[in-house]
Amino acid sequence: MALRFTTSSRLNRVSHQKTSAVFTSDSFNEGFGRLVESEWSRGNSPYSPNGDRLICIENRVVRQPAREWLRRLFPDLGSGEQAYTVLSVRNRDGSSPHELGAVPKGHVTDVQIGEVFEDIRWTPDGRNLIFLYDEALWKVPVD
Amino acid sequence: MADGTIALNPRHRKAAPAFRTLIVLLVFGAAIAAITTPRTPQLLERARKIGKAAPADRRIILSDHSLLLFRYTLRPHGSSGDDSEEDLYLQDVSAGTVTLQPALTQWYNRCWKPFNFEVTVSPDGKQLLFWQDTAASTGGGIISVDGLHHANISYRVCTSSGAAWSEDSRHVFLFPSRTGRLSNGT
Repeated sequence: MALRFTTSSRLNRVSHQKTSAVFTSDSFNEGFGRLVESEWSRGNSPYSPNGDRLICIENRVVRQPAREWLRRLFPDLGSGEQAYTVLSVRNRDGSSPHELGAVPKGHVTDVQIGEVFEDIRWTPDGRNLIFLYDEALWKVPVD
Repeated sequence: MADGTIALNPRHRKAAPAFRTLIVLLVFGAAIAAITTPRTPQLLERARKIGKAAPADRRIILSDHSLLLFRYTLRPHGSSGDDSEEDLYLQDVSAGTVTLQPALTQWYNRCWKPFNFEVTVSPDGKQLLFWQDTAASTGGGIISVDGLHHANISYRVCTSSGAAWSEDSRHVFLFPSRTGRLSNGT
């Protein structure tokens, strides 16, 4: 395998990857808000093969008012807040979020990207995401 | 009562409408609660399960049916004996087969143990870009998944803050953090 190195300053599309990675969001009780850039340290890039979109993993707390009300009567019922890890894709500038779905998350305060999904990657055609979850390989359409 | 009709107790006549009203209110309340309670769509309802992943210490997705597995062995690595070598396997999740990759394992243990490295998979899932970032330099290597074709990268100009593949899997990019310039290799 021959390897040739050159330098270039016009690779704007790919240069987005320099800023690293994936956006995570925590919305504890505050709705959807703060986007935090975080390091993506897995084997695959969060960016789609053509660089237009990126994978987002967000930790979200959903309040369940009815459950909170019932908890006043039955204290053993458990919290009225349920934590989820939400998988979505966005345009590379963070706009136009499209949620693919969520999986239950253990603890509200843990914000570790690699905690729920062991690895995620795009299919070469950019139409699906493949992810490792719960010791299995899954495939989900993006659109 | 000779005609067979049953007369209700007057108290029951009053209680029946009140009971019905209570039921209606409960059903209405439950419906409101169900509507107002946010429901998060479940990812696994939409996703398709391809298959179970084999046990490993680290797994990387190569494609929609294959995984790269890292498993620690009892073979010591290096002279100190503090670290052990790893075996690298290719798992075909659809077929349920796990195959040791001897050439890839040998290259990996020789070049990348025990360094703190990153690995990025090409979009076609056939090549791996290993790269390491230190204060002095950035080094890396490209290798095919079967371990039979590889090339090393020595890039000592500055440190790199990232690495990526081109869409056609023919180029790799390192992103230097000091000069702000991009580099690509073919």
